Amino acid sequence: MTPGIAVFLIGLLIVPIILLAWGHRIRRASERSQRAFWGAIVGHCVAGVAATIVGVMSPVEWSDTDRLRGFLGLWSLAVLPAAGALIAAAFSRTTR
Amino acid sequence: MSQPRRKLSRVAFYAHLWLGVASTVVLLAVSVTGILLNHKRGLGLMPEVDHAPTGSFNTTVSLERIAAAALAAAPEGTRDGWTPGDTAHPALIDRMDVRPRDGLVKVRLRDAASTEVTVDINTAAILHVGPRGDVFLEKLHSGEIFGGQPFVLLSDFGAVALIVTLVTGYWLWLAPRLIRGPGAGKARDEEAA
Repeated sequence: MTPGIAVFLIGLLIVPIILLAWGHRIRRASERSQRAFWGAIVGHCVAGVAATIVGVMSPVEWSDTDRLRGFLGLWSLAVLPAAGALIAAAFSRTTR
Repeated sequence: MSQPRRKLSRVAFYAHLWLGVASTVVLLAVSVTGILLNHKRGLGLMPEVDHAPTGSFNTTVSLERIAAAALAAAPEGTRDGWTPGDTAHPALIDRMDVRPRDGLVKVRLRDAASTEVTVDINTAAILHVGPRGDVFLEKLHSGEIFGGQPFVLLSDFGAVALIVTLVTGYWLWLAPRLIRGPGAGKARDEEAA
């Protein structure tokens, strides 16, 4: 299994479970944690739609040089929720 | 509510919630690819060549000659070093679909775009060259694209998750009505509306 596929499976199956567990009683969490949670949710929703679109838009198998498709199709499901959480958490700090 | 029924509803709720969330992206991809595959002809993902036989079935050319004609007509990137005039290399060909009633052979190559060359079965004339987009979509639909047969379990997971969420969703709708009687659900729906 390649690193890309491993990250894809984590983003596809593990990240939603983590987000669901994180969202449990989220209203009792700190403001920064709440913002990071919603940032991660938005990141995962965007990644899910983007991965599906790049997967079907050009019905041709991935090649090693297809970096944008590789990122959006495989890595985005794990990377974008993390990026969304970090950005939202940082935004929370600057607004205080 | 009786204890076993309450426990069942609790299990149903959490199964519905966790499986629903975990399978969302899988089901999104399976649904989108399924719709595209249903309309593959209309969307031009699968080339359709109208053709009538140009000779009788006992005057067809050899499979090797048809394969060689197909490779010669295919884009250069799909040939992997093969040059016109060489014997057709079986390793470059995924399959040959013979259609005697239409008088053609569809030669599918083993490249990223699954290029398909449609060749006349009697003359080896090229009728059409183009990618078979539905081959990739089928692999994406089944999960096979991510690493072969074991990844079919991904779409199996999506299917099982969908069945469980359907059954648990139905139970979660039905359970309050079983407890409060047939009118309770209706009254609550009207209240909500």
